[in-house]
Amino acid sequence: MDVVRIDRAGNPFLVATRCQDCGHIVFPAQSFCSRCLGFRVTEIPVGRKGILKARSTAHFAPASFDPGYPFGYVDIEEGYRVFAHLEGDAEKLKIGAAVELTAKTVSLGQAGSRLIPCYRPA
Amino acid sequence: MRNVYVAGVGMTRFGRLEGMELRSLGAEACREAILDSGIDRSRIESAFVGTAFPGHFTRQECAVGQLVLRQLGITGIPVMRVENACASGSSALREAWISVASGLVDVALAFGVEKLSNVPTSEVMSIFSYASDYEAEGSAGIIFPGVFAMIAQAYMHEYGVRPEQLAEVSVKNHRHGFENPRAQRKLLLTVEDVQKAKMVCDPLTSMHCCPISDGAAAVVLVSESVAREVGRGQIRLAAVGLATGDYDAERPLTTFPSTRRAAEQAYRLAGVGPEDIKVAEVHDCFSVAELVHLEDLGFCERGDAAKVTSQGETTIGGRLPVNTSGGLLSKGHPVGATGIAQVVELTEQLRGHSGPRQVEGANVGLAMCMGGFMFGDGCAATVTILHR
Repeated sequence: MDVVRIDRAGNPFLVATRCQDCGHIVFPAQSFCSRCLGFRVTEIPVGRKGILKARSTAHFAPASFDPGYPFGYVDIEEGYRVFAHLEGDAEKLKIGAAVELTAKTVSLGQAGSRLIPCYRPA
Repeated sequence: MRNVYVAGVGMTRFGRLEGMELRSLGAEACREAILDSGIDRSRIESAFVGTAFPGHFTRQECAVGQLVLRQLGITGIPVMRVENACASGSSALREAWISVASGLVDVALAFGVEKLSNVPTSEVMSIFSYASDYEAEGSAGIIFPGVFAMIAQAYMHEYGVRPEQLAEVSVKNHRHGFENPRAQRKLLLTVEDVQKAKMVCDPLTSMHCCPISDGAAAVVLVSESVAREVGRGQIRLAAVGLATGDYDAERPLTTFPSTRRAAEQAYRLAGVGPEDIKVAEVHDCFSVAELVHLEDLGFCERGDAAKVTSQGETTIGGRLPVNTSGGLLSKGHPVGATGIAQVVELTEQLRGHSGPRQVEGANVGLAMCMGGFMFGDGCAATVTILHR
């Protein structure tokens, strides 16, 4: 399952689904609508902009990450709370700051690599 | 629903217990609970085991309950594993409670067990992240101290609380745990000690975080008729509430709908309110968690928990002593064992057997446990109420 993808113009987006019948948006994407249970859903880009709800830095890191990465919860415009890495000027990454999506590639060792959500000051 | 009683309790010491494997930990806790109950083990009709990550830490992914109970000569009965991340033990307890309350069985055993210390810390962090939405969060590097660091940042921002006030939770719980022979981290700490410890995720240092632990705990639950027969009708398991969370963004980070829902269920089923509780074990996986849960359990107004803690209200001798066992911070947190160990502590408190940690007049106790975290709320919250 992709959480983040890059569009043809090179801009990252989070992958959600929108129901063609009731209009409900679900993140992460799923095969049917969580509200009306219909199968007529289309993938749509979401999460390009959001508000930073809280942030911290991981001085201890899980396997496959280097310690010291800043991270936060971002409430995206479409109404979901996303865990993401952060980049850019820490002074501008305060609670309530407007942020925009970038993407970050993480190596998962033998499992290859994957794109993960990352935000910077808007 | 029939009345259900706690006939027996048992637990191992918590800690990095070299040489103690999953099977022996579980068996020793069950042995103690059965002996404490005074009930012949042949009368146990059903058993539930709470364990969260046995496969990742020990390779024993399946049949943990059967493996443990075989050592006690308990075979043939229905045995089932219950998984609800860090609330696995309390969720197993709920199943045992339902079994007896429903009239299906008269004697049920619930136990929790976890072995974590044989894996390096970075790997432990990765495995714990499986208790999130792994595709969306775990694989992006979410870790539990990180989640609660963000909650701490939001809490401090919203209520003007300082990190030193969060540290007071850890100081208190370590002071309580210092008197508990089964606690893992027996340290008398000052606020300065907590703040000077190694930073994990700001503002949480390692002393704001529970340690990595091995351990097990068990309880024997019985119906009223069996309780009368064996003279164990003193402690009633009045209710176990279980709820899940809200995963949308439309709420602050400083309250857990899952905790509030589990509390509402348990208070309603037990016919008591927060004002009736005399002693509580609250899921302090991180210092700030205790504060948020105290508010969501209705013990104080939102934003007041740090002040209430500073004033000593949650210390032994205060209005509502919280985590008299030392809590997860001092006693330790062998994930699946935690929810049952909380009930062991409350049972001993209500029996008046807690020695230097005894809360005078403790007649109603509450235990709260949280497991897993997705999109900003707990995946499972349990609230258990015991009545003398």
